[in-house]
Amino acid sequence: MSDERHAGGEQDGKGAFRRDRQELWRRLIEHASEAGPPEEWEGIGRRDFMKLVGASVALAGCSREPVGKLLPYTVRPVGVTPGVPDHFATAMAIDGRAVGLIVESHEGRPTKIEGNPAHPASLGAAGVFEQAAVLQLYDPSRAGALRMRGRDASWESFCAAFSQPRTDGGEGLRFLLPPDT
Amino acid sequence: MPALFPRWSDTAFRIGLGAVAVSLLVLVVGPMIYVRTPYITGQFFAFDQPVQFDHRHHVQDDGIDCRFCHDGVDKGKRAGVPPTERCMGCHAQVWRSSVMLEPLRRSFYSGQPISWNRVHQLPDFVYFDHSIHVAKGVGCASCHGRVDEMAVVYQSAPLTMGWCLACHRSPEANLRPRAEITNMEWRQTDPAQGRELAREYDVRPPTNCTGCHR
Repeated sequence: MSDERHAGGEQDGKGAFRRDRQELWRRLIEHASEAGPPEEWEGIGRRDFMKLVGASVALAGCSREPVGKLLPYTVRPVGVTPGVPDHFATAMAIDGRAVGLIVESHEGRPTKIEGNPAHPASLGAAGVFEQAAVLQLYDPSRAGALRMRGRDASWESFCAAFSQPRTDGGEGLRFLLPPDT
Repeated sequence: MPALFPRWSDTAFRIGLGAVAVSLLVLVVGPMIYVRTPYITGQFFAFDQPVQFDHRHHVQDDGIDCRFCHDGVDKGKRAGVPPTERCMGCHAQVWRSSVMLEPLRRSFYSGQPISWNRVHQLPDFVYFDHSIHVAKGVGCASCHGRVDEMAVVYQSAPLTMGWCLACHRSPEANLRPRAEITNMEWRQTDPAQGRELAREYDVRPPTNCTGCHR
């Protein structure tokens, strides 16, 4: 994470959270390496520790399963039947070319990417990058919101900024895109 | 020459043998029995739910079909718990200011789901699909019991592998016409009907391991 993003993320929630988490880890590791085990652990040797862990694991196997929770929709999206996956046709760009894909989605959560059999180039085949692309959708560092000058911004502000005709004739406007055919 | 062993050594040996047998029973058979007790299978345990939903009233008094709320049962793996809007479909009109339904209204207007306690829970290593069971003529009550007589829903069957397999090996006794799937009171009176339905619906339940443990 660059210093610039540190400075920019001063007030936004997500950046601050990420920074706090890193700081917390750093402090935890420092503390653990400097302080050693806490005082209450004095006199508990390695073997005693293993015995305690073993006993608690053995006992844990005897207990009941914890009660699970069922969280139904409040308002079910049209066309969704819980338990029945939806399949969406989509495409992703690899080496500048669009590859037709079908994504399996469970209640709005994509789980599997396969090729689209109707796509003339792939005929339903999907390579490692297409298959692995599903992980990108859950990448914690994936952009979760618009950013403007280093800060989270809303779609409303985006629309406000771009809905009016520009008076400068598009001077300084740049689009950053991956290579494309 | 004096005896090598004292007189009581035979008794000690026999007691030792007995102890080995008993400990085998306790250590091997004991846990096997233990995991089949209702305490572990969850059979007959009723949980407090966030809304005091009474199936007796909705099924018996109102005559609502199971599938009106659990509409996933013939479409996919899960029968499904109805979305809050389904409840509000009626309860925006009837009992609209009832105190008992306060959590329902709070869920509907806040968008936060009602957090029901799960009663039937198969382990993650078991594949189960409601729709195929319904399609082959296994009624709701065959596994879930008389839900229409439950004030609070509990698991009426053990849901152990042995219990599943017993039906998968000879399903005929638990088959019913598809029209009677949600009928809580339907009973098979003639075993010949079960055999006939098994033929008609082409009932071939898997009994190999990978049928359910995929």
